[in-house]
Amino acid sequence: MSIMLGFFYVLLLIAFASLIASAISYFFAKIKLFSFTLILFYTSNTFLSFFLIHNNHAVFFYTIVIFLIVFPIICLLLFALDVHYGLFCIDTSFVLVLVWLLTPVLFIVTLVSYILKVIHA
Amino acid sequence: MSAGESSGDIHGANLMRCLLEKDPKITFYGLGRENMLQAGLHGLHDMTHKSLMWLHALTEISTFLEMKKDCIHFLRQERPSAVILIDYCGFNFYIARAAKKLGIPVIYYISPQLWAHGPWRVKKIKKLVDRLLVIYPFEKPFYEKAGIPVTYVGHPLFDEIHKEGVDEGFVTELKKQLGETIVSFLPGSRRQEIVRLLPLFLQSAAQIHHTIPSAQFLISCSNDQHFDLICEITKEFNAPYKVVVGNVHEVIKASTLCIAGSGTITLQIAYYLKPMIIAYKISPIAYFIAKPFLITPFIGLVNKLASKMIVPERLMCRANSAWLVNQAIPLLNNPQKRQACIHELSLLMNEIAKPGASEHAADEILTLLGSKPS
Repeated sequence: MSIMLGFFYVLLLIAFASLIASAISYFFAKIKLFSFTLILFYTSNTFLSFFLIHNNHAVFFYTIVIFLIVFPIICLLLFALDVHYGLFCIDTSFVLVLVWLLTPVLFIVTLVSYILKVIHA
Repeated sequence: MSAGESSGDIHGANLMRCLLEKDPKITFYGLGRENMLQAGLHGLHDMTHKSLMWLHALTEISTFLEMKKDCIHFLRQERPSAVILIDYCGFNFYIARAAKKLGIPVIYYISPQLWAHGPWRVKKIKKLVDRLLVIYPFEKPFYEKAGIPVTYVGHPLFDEIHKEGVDEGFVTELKKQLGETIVSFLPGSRRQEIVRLLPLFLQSAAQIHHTIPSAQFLISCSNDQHFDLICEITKEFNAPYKVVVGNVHEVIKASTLCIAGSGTITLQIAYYLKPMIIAYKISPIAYFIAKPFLITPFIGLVNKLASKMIVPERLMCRANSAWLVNQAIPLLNNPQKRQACIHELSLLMNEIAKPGASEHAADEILTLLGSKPS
């Protein structure tokens, strides 16, 4: 159990650090670093959520994955495609607002799940 | 035609009058406010109170969707010879897209400020617009580089100024009432801008008045719908001020120093060669989201046009009245600093303050439509 908790602890640290790093790199327009840290954030959070939630609450797990991971990633991909190819020709600024509203929510959900896991352990 | 902002409505009306002078057979349909309606626009929707920014636009999303639906229905039914869009890119992009799909030529007059923020939209403009009529000289190479057909027509604001003139009697009256040191606050025409900027300006007013007791303050209220809001905000602050509804040119001309939000108002101030400070405040979240996309080093139009900082400017996410006061005091007290600022403004105005923008735009549009300008 202690190895498992240690593993969660590392994942949680990566999630937290990558969230902060992605915010800073975004703010200073370091696009490559931003992309890397955001991928790291989504990956660590997905694993963390899977190990913490999936076994007991599969429906909840898939709901948060769809709403807080798949949806913002699709938004970002569409935004990137629109930037490069002018595919949709709509004002896509709101995509960034959506992504930045949902990203901290994902972290909070995993953090709460982790705390509950620690308490029950 | 589609114009959402009050400034777009004025410029749209002037353009319509020029087009009608050259070709009286033209009929206009679309979105506009009272000026365009007076100039002969058959309004599909009244755009008064529709100038919303950022997330505030989401609160009116059902109205915007209804407007979009009606516009598309009109385009399908009537098949106009051309669609002329004026600024207001958030909504006008949708109209452009619908018109383009129907094969209707799209002319964009007063292009969105992509050189300042959101440069990724250049590809959309290229895809959606047949001709861009730009109002700042630096916009032409910016859009040409992206391969967009573009014509620089000049700024229609200078047509307005030349046409309207200044009520010198009102200026004298203001000076008589308030004395020789007048600081005017011009927070903008949108409700959100007034709510964000006016408290900041009034905080600085108290501090400026403390340092220069002879200083008196004017608050410019662009239309009487915002008068109550301004009175509500001013209640909390202690400074000798007077609110003037309308008469923007007179307010500027009577002022010793103007403190304004960014936007066209700064050009009006520059036209009257008045030293100014540009301060713009947005919410911390908006600042965080927008910061990577602010590609211009200047937020103020006059600085952007001069390609150097000729007047102090700052984009804020927290109210920094101390900075405002630190910039204002020297511009009020130090004659050399004032003169240097006025000199730079006069050089800039000599270059760009020429009337005839609406006329040039009308000629371009008629040429594009194959109707010879008279």
